[in-house]
Amino acid sequence: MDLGFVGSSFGVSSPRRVGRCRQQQVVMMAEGSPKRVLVIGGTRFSGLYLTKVLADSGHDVVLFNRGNTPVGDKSLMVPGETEEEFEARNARTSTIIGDRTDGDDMVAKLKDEEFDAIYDNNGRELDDSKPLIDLYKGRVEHYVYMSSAGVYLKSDIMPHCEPDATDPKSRHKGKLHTEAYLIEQEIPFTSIRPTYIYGALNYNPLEQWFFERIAAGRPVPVPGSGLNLTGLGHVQDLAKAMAAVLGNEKAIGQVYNIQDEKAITFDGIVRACAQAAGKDPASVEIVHYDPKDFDFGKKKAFPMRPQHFFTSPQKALTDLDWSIEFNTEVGLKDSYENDFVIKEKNGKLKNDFSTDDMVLSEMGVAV
Amino acid sequence: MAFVAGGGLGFGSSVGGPAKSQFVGTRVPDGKVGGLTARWNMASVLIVNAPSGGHAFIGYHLANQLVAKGHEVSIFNAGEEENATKKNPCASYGDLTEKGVSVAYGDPTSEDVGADIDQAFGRKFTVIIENFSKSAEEISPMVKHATGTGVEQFLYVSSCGIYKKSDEVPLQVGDPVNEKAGQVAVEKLLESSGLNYSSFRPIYIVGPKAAKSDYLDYFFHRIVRKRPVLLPGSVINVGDQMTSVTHVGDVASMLVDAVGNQNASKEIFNVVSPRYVTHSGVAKLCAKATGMEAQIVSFEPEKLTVELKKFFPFRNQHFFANPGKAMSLLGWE
Repeated sequence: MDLGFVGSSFGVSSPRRVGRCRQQQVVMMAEGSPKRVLVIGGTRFSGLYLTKVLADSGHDVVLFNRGNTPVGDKSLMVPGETEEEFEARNARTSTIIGDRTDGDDMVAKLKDEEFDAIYDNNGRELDDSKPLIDLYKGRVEHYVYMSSAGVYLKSDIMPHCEPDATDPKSRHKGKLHTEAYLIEQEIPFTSIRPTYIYGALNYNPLEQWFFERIAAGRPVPVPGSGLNLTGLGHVQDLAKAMAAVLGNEKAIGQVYNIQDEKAITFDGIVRACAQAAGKDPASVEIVHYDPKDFDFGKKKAFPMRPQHFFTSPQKALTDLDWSIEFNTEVGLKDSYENDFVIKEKNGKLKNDFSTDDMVLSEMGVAV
Repeated sequence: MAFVAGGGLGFGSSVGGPAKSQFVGTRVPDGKVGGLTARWNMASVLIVNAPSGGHAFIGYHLANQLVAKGHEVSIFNAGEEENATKKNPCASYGDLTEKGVSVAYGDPTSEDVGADIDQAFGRKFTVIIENFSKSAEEISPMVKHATGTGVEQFLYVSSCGIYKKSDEVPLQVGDPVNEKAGQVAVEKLLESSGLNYSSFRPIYIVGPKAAKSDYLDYFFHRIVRKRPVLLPGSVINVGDQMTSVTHVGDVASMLVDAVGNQNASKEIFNVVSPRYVTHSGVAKLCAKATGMEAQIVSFEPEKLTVELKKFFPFRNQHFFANPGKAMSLLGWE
């Protein structure tokens, strides 16, 4: 059972534990009464894992989406989940069909629905969330908003902590605007800022980028010195943190960074991915280059921003009944075995090495 | 000074407020029962201090803070008085003796250290803080003395230098350490001694009364003379290595928070600032402090004719650690 991790409610950063394998997942019943929870963006990756945690905990989950993936669709099964578990939680999950990008439609479809809590997982701009916030102001116990660590202003000083300066010009400024609106409207909210989320079913080819090159036996071009530190966070840990916010008074009005307690260097990710793929890390060639020397056009040559970018999850570890279960080793193995090898077998990999070839030829490295 | 404001830049966490626990922690982590329950208004503390080196001035600040809290403080200093007092921190010990701190010089590693201490101070100590030994052989006589005289708490200043290099940082207590390091042997000895011990692992420490102020001087010297600030490593993203610079006042305050605190028992803590900074970041912050510019230039350490550590103050790698445990268990900020 999970009791071994309860100690973390004191916020003790315990020695790194190896996460449990998926087969040992235990269905925990929610403390207190089950809640009726609206989840927008609940059929993909982090939203999907969150939906599972909430439903497994006994809450009634109402999804709001365009109906492309109905409850019970096999693509909504999480690796390691049994058919029985899937069916059990589906019994507590339903869908209201509508389009969140159409504010009027969203309001029309939801206005007569009451919820204890709302998880707004896929709002990008304030316009996406404003109709929902306005509709449920005064009607909901908790509004949980999926923000991003991308809002932090770049700095030489790390880690990014919740009170730190944010960048009003950031690509994620829509999240900042929404956070500000939540504060202004005095609705009981919590905002979650993950760094880089990874794990099986990731729709962002993050760890996949590394696995592709390692599987193909290709050198891995890494921008900069290879020492850039980044923050990975396993999707399961994120889902648990988000669920842990429910019913927690301390979390009201708070922002939480969610990621692993450790950051990892770019070169370190290459080595860790090699390890997860069952290859000797020393056998993978890493080629460093200065991204300023290249014009990749619209293509992304590397899946992460070439700067130090990580946060501290200490506040969440202290305030929430939450602990981190996946370290990098276990997390990447999960992603590799439960996702990458399947995609590889089904020919679903991107394998776009065009920017790699640009770098490698310039650096005089043979493939 | 402390441009990297010690601790308080905070995680915005709820471990806030001015409450530095003066009595034993009431929160007892899993598995810890019983132990010290008395409220320690005044402990008799013995600080075993080094005469010089990076850690020496911790002893000075520790003594000051403990006296301010109302404890009785004695310092048993390694080295010879005449030599040691030629420079800081021992040169400033007059400040301490004025406040009632007793100071004696001697050899903490001697088999007769127990008798020497009794002769020098003639009192029973509740707490011993060992800030000198770097090996099990050196500390063994003091440990024997502590167990023999029923010392209630034994604090040791160790080092983060014992952690094995890793791709994943910050370093956390529990991460692999270099088994050959002297401080590792000391920590193991303390663990098996039966003493109520705690070990504190610092990184780079700065502040007043330093015996060794090389860390920031390296940057200041070059900036004020308008010379290039040479940083080791990659030409791309020069000075990207991240490190930890902690103010000595914060290092001392963590040990002070541990005195009389049940939560510290048999625990190891990283005693570092929760904020980390890159080498180039240090250069820029130093420049800002002087009101001048830093001209940052990279160099290859392999091309030096001397060992890198004789030239550059920081390790050529990421080197920082997580103090989260101390913040949670000791309420340290």
